[in-house]
Amino acid sequence: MTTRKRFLEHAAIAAAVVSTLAKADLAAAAPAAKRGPSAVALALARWLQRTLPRARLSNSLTEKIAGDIDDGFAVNAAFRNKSNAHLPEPDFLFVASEDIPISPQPRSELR
Amino acid sequence: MRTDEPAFQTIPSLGKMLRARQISSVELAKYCLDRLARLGPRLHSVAALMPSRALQEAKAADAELAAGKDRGPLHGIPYGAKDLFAARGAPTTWGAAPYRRQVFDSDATVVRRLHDAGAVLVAKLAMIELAGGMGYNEAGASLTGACRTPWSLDHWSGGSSSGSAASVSAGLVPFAIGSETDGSIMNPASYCGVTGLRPTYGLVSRHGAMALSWTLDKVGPFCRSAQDADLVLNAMAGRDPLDRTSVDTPARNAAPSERKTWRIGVPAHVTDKVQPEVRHNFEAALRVLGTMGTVEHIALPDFPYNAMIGAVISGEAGSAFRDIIEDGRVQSLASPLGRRGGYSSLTISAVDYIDAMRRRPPLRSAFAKIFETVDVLVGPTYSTVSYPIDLPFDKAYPGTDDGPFITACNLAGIPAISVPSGFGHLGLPTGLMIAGPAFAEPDIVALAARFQRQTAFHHKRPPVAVS
Repeated sequence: MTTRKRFLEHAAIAAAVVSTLAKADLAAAAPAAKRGPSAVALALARWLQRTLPRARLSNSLTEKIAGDIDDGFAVNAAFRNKSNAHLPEPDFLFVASEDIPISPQPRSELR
Repeated sequence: MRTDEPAFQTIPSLGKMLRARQISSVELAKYCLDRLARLGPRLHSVAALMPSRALQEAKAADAELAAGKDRGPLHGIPYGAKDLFAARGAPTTWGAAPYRRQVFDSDATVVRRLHDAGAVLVAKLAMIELAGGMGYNEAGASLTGACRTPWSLDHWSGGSSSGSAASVSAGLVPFAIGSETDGSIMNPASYCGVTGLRPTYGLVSRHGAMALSWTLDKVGPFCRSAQDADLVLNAMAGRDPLDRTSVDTPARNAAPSERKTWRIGVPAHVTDKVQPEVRHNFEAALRVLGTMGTVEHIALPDFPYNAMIGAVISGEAGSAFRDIIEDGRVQSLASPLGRRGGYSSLTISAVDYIDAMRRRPPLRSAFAKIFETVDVLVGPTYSTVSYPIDLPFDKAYPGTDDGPFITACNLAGIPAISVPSGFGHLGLPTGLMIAGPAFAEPDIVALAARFQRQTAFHHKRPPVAVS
């Protein structure tokens, strides 16, 4: 099961909780679960509708996408106002030369 | 040949029959093809049969055995692959309408490695469209329709590796391969009552497998037993130059090492919101495990798991499928949620994605610390039995919650195995998940095998399999 479905369910709850806790921060972005998408999310969704003409996003689909964008704001809220100072660099795959394997060492040495 | 006898044999048993010439690989392949053709449509578990390739590989396996060349435990054994793996010349639809005509001219690394080990590919197996990466809330989110668990045709197989689990459960193939980003092996293994092994991130090459989330995707087997899963994993694992995240593995022993006693950790609150039967079966499993060592409760590390997994999957899947999102083809997916889910992913910020990724190394460290005090973590694989086919998932079992255990393990990249732990609501199977430190597959397999020696759930046959 993904993941994304579960995330979307939880995100909506998390967003609601966070919006209660930090109304000032999220005033513009706070999702309104029963009242339709926020103005910011709707603006973003309409921007997608306008800039992705091949997708032919209908108005009703655009409104639903706005609801999903509100859920995405919960991600931002979850990371906001938390100190990142002591977090390490993320693990990314990029290396400067194709000749250098990313994980050349045997598994036993990784433990 | 009796009608269903080879269907539920383990890999070593089938290997013994092959080597004793009680059955040939060609006969075995035909037997599986027949069961896949007869029972697959009832389960909606098959994406495509591969009779031509199967018989060719099986003939070669028979010829080699006759000539004294033995490739090992998988020699001559049929299997199925989730339709997310490329197989030369065959349709590889990723379970999704936009890719219904997609064909690759080469094999995924795991398919090639299984071929090299003598295994015989008989079918591509059904899956949730795009492995669920665009979101879904119903069993029918697949190009091949709602895949059923062989334990009840009114209930879902689980996903996204739906057909792999259902086909093993119904005895259509001795084993199958699937993939997991966040639950796609564990979930169907639990719902179909089979053994599913999700390896450590990087242990098995993803080359030739659909990319959903490059930093989360793993490839693993569905089998009849933990020991079978270890045999299949051995054939697939190891560094592949075509997947730069893959790592080398030292020679692994197919018979996993045994510990005398195990230190078993149970994440706190892991049964808080599960169905009563799931809790009952887990407590019974704990009593069995308790005879093998000590059991203690452990607090899972405190991380924003849902936000982390959401940011990573949205960011990576949004990039992986940006073309079909932007040109609108994603709107031909079966799931209403999937038709639109990709659009919001285009608005996830890079900073949020990176913040999520920056939390993964500390999470990895936190798990490493936990595994200094316990050898494994165990919990119910999922909080419920399978969902009814005709209900949206979020309406199926109100008040239940799977909790963060599976997501936390996936974000940390650590391995887990799900084994059948009993039966619950309507006689549907439940699962026990055993997670361990990175690259500790031999350990979690050993404990799972020991659990299976003391229980008989993995020997039960579902109704569809014998009809």
